Amino acid sequence: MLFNSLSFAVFLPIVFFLYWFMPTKTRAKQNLLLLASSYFFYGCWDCRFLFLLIFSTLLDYYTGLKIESATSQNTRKFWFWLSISVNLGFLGIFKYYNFFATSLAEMLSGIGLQVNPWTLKVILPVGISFYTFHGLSYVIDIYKKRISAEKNFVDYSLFVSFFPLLVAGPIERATHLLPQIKRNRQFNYIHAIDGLRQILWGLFKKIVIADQCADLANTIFNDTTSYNGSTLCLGAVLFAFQIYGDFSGYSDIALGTARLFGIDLLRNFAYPYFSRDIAEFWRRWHISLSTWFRDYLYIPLGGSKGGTWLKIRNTFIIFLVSGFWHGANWTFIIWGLLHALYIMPSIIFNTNRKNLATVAERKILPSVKDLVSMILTFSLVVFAWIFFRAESLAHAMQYISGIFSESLFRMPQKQPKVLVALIIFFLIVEWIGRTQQYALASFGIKWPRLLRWTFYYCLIAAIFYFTGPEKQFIYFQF
Amino acid sequence: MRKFLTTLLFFAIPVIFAGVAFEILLRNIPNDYSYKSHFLDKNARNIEVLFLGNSHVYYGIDPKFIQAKNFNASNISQPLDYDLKILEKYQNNWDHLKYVVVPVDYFSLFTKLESGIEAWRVKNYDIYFGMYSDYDPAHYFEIVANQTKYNLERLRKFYFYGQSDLKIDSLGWGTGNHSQNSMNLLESGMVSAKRHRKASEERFLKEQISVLHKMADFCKKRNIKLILFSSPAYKTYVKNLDINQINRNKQILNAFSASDKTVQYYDLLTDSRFDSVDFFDADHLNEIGSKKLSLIFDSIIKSEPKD
Repeated sequence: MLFNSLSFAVFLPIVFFLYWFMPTKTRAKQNLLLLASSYFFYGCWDCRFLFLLIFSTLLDYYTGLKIESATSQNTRKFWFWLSISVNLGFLGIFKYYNFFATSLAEMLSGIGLQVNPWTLKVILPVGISFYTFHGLSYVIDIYKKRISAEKNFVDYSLFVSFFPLLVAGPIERATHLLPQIKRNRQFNYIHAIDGLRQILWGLFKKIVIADQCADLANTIFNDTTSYNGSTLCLGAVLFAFQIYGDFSGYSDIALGTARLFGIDLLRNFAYPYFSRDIAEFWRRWHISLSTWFRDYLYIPLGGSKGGTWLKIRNTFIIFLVSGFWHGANWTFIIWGLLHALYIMPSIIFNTNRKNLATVAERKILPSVKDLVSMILTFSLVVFAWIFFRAESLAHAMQYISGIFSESLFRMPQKQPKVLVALIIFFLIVEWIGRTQQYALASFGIKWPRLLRWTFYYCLIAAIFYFTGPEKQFIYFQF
Repeated sequence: MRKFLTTLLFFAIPVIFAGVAFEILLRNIPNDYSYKSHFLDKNARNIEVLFLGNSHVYYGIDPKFIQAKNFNASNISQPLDYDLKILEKYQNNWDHLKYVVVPVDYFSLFTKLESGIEAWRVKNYDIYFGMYSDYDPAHYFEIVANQTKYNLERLRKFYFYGQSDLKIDSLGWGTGNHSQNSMNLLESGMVSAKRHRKASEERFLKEQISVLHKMADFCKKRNIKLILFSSPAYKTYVKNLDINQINRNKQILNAFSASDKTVQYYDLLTDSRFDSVDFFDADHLNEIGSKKLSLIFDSIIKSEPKD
């Protein structure tokens, strides 16, 4: 069941009404309803993988309790490593086994040894990377004694499986979400309206921006040799807006949906394309994953406390792992490494926390310096996206060599005027709302109701006009 | 909560009204499915030969060349399970039905309508044939089945210029593939074969074979003969298909017809009676080829012993 489907438009109101209007409403009943709804939501993809999700939940719940109750350090370690290895084992089998098997075979054939790799015909369970990371952070936090193990199985299961975040995040933390699950929730008009507004903006990003960019970006990426440099450049820029609209649109719908149930999820995006350097970009892009890697990988490795070389090593490790998290393909690894290289100057010269405030705060327009910085950062990000989008390294290299040719200065073969106008409109709204949680939170909020509603109707009309057969969200594959 | 629900209701009324109006206007546009459904509602009792199947029959069987009372109830991308659903829907009406003719092509046993790029067509069976295919609400509404841009174009054509979505003649034959507009057979062969290879999935085989068995049982109970065939295709299409799947198809269908005397199977895939002039593209006949194929079936039916 996709957020941009009619099924979800039917499912959500039903769950909403049952949740708030159930007879003799209690928190336990509400949590049970949300858990059942989440399993139904997930089961709509493939019921078989529901068992994997429940097994993963049971494992982390049980090992969490065992770690907490263990009297000796060895027992604690045993349960901890059992959970970590089983979680990573599942992720490895479903996501990475074929990659390692074929990569090894290719490496061996390079030195003259012909090996027929034994690959598995497995389908990647939707959201496995996300719910595995939920479970890992929970177990690590218990092991490090940051939190207590959750005793209530329904509450813990809901923390892992809450349907708005189940398949593509945000990657939640037990310290943030579990207390909300255990608290009585009151309906709040302002929050609910805000949630609906965020859902509307998320749908606009997904259907009007991402899906329209996808059509053209796919055409260009799928037939690289037929296009000149400027068209390939356009294709890469469109992919940048596609992936942003797609993923941040998903996150907006997830956050808005959760808010309808009185739950606040972690923010995942903060206008990353208005960043002035790569370090700022990574504070604004897929925030829940970046902070996850910071807290559970970068800091345990020593973080930035052990001198420049250690910082450089740790930075490369987290970007490499981050690339690999996205998928078993060398293209993702190169994408991660490119970002590590981009961020290196700010790590070495200690300028990575230079741009902490929102760009051009309390100003209408950015300064020339900020504008140049933003364009430069965006260009670097777009260049890296080429690797992310390409089917293989060879495809990426072919694409890049196509861009950097004399034809870069010719007119693009595709001139999507309507799409460019939509992107400009989108950027204007995002720029105006850049200090808010999401762009529409402030845009038009002080207008008279008639005007504001007319604007929302226009957004709905645009969503309706551009809607078509449902398109998957990109991050479902991760 | 009351304030929330009231605000939401007031906000949603224009949206719901526009959506309902759009849906009604779209459903009122005559199309192949609504026509065929109405035709069968009225005339199923008189039909002697029923042609079912996909675009290969839709464009390939012209009922006017067949002497017996017949109707072409095929639709583009109509798979075997929907052929069976049509048979079952009118199960009490087939008073004179003697033959059911169904193509089983390269992809027929290896695809399902709901899983491929043609899944949007499911709504046509739910809306116009009154079938109940699955739980997906998107399969019950015109407005979400296609891009709104396309739907607006349909509205404009029908309500401003009177052009409906009907692309068939009165007996259900698809009139769109005219020889004057024939496509490049080399290129279309490669493209179609690639598409059909890609769409084929092993996981559907068991289910579609079971559909064939159900269809045979349905016909046997009513003393109806089931004629299966592989549609004729041009060599540029055939040579780009997976030979293993072609052979597997033949093996399954030969074994199936051998085990059941009421089922006949004709392999016309590489039939030498069809030449390049008969094809609109490498796997669809034009009006010349469809006349030829229709006459072949006419002679098959005439040659059958009368009860």
